Amino acid sequence: MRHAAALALLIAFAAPAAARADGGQVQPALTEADVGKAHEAGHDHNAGEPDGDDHADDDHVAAAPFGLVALHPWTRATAAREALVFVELENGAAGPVTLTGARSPAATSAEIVAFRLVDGVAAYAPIASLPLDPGAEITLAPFGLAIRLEGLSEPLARGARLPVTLLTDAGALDFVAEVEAADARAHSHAGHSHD
Amino acid sequence: MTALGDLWAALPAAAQDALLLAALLSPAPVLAALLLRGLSVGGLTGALLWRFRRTNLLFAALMALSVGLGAAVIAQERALRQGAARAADAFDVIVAAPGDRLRLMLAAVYLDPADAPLLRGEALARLQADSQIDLLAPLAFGDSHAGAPVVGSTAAFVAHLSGPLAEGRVFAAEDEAVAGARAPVAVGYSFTPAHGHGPLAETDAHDGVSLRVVGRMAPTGTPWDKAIVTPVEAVWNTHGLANGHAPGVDRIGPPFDPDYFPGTPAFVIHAQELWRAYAVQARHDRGDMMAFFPGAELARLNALVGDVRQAMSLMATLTQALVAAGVMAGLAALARLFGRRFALLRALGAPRRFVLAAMWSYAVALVGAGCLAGLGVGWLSARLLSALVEARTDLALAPALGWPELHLVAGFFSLTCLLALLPGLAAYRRDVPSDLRETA
Repeated sequence: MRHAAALALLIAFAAPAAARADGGQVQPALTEADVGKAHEAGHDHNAGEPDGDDHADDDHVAAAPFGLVALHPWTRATAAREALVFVELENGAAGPVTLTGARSPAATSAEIVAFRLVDGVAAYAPIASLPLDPGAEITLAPFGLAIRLEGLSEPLARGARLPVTLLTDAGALDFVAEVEAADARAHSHAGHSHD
Repeated sequence: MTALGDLWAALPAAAQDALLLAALLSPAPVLAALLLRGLSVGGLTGALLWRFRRTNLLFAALMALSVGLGAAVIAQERALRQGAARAADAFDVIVAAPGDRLRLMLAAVYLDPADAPLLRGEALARLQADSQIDLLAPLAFGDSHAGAPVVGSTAAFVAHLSGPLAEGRVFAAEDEAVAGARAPVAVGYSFTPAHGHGPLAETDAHDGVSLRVVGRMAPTGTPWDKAIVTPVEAVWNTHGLANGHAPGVDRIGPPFDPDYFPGTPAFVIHAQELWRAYAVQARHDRGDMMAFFPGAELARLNALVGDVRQAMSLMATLTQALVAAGVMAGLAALARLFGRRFALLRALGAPRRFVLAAMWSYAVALVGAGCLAGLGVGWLSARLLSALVEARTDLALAPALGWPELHLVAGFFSLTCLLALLPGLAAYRRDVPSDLRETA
């Protein structure tokens, strides 16, 4: 009886030291991540072909017919009910494009959120819309902008694929986010370009 | 299980913390119910506590110290992190020449001086043309007076940083200045800024320039409390540069004329809505300009040192566990000293569990007193540490014992209640006849 109590107590005792030490941040504590993962051999990046809003051969790039391009969409593995999706966007259209929201078949709701540090508290706050100038490039990344999915139907495992649709005033852009490690700080291919 | 997990996630944070605290404190009453069932050890425990009150006080004080210091260190780290983050509140976006963002943030937000290349007229023109910017203010640092940084900016920025002034009014002419809440100058005081910072600042570099303090900002709890803010035109004038406006224009403040703009190391930008701040940052973070969020930079830094924080928590708990183990070892030795007395009680008919229960209650009373006193020690130490850190960093800190510290102390208490079984067991296992045979 006492042994069981001791074991339960030790487990309970270890948890607060870990859980509360991060100051209640939204995301799990990040550590120096191994972002230099091996690139899968024989990858064919045939970007630059606007295939409509269907997936291109290569999930790293997705383009919409109205000119918006999504590059390297990614998210982190999680067992929680919500996830943040990050992506690099480029507005290749002749005029401004306004991002108005998002949705995903794998989640009950999705919205665009932006990081803010107010009064010492860090949080991602939803924003209703975000205009992109023609030719503008914007990167959704940790501690910045993101697409927050809530009510995930199942946990995200590393290596899985998560379909997301970005809604804009000019149309919708579908892409598939790659699920990286739970403590990843960037897409595993961050820093290389697709032409 | 997922239903339970969802229920947990749906609770407000305070409820989660309270439940966790209750869970951490639960082993003690459970053990008490098991051990003290049907026994009345209060009298004996009280007598033990009183009889050895000096030793008891020492044990309790040792535990209070270790608990208190552990709690204070964790509370202090959180206060410092929040204080540093609050300092960045007024700086939504910083725009500067491409370079080290962290260095620029330290210079602009925390007034830690750094050399930086200047942004010139083209950058100014692009920023002034952006209708989504609500406040655009240059920050020209480089001078100081009596150890206080003298920074050139605009009246709108002073209003944004401080809100209503504590004293006087904001500057309206090139030779006026506004002091921070704790700057070493009084309203009405006139001074000549020195070129550079620190003890090697050249106090005679700007002879002939005189600035008069006409107001004092409200406290901001940031290093800007020690600064003196002047119109940016004054900084340019002091250094013999154009004053940001075409000849014949006799006002200070924005909009500036790109053709007469000598340059500034950084601009601070404020936008009323969050999406605007992000749109502005994305628009100007390219080519010959760099735009970033100081808040995000700080958060990234915090995430990197998050491991250090967890290591600190772990060390605090380990230290406390060590002290507790030491105290329990001392109590186990005491059990030996009590051997004869307990043997007498046993001989008179007390069950073995009585001896265990009495020693356990005695130890728990010491631990409980130590933990409660430890919370007090922790609160005091946190305030002391904060005063030291505030003096060093000019940040206003608000140290307070929060849920993390309560959880730490509760976990320590429960663990030590378990450890307190050791002296009890030591007494439990003693042999009555040999103890009775011992001479006093």
